[in-house]
Amino acid sequence: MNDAVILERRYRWLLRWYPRWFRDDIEDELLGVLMAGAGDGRRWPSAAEAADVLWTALRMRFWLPRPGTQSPGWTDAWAVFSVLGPVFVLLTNIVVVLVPPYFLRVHAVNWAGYTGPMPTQARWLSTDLHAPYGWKPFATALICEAILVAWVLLLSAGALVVIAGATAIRLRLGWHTLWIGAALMYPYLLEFASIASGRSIVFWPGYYSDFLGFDVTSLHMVVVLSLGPAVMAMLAVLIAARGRLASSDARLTPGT
Amino acid sequence: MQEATFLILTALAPGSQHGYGIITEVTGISGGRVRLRAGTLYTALDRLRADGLIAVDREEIVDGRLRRYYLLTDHGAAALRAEAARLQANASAALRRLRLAGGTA
Repeated sequence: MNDAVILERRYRWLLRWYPRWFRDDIEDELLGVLMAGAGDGRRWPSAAEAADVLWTALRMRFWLPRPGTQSPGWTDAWAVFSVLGPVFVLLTNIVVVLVPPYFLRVHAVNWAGYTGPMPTQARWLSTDLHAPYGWKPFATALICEAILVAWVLLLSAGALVVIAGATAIRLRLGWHTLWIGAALMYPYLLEFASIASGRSIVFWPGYYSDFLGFDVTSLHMVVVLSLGPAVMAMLAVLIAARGRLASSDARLTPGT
Repeated sequence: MQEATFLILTALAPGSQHGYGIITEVTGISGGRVRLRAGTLYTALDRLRADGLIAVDREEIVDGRLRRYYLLTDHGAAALRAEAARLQANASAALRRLRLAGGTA
């Protein structure tokens, strides 16, 4: 096996660091330039070329969505928000999960100690005597703990989907990433709104809470519990599909 | 506009060039100061194509490998012209002020 073949094989291995769509478009061409610049007798890529390939490949995979040409400032802002929002949700939910397991003592102590650090949705299900499982405090606490963990897992998975979607696919649709970020922030925004309106969403014994004059029922709770993740999942799929199409169009049409 | 982008567009101003040609042109234009690496060049070309500043002029197969020639679009030429004018204005202002400083020293 001659030197050029060995060098080419090693360059091809290096080029695997680039995203697939980029390799499909330029691998052959880029390889030609690398080989032309390498000169005769070389069997290994130079350290400088290897570092350059690795650096540009990592930037391509993990950089924020690139600013668009129409409103780069806003696109950047939304891109940052769409990454920081999920990270914020992920971190706060991890903190909630790490809170000591109040459910072990909840039925003997009080509800406030248990429900204090919980997200609004779990709190809704746990704190009202008229809630579905309100007459069995310990069972209610267990169920709420399970709901809380499931909720955190959903949000965490959603956050990872957003981050992966916005970086690995190298999205150029900054506006759309906003909506996934917003879906993840949704429970928090709701709670902030309730505080701002002067009405606590936390339930008092004996009646369901009202939110801005709206009576909250168990059906509403279920909708609230499922709506955020459902919207998040749908948008993630939509963005992944549209991002891929946009990338293909931009690269497979010579002369554009 | 980053210097590498400016130099790539400048390299393409007279006519279309392939990747390795752009690298050698940029080295020449910058007096050897800037030597583009292949990875940097092709990520920049990808970005410039997406922004509509350059386009693929034609493709050839050379030694069994695809070789693309890139050219400056009208939009790219306008952007390069604007950037060159901006740099020229800044350079003129700097030289004028240096002369002024020299005269009063």
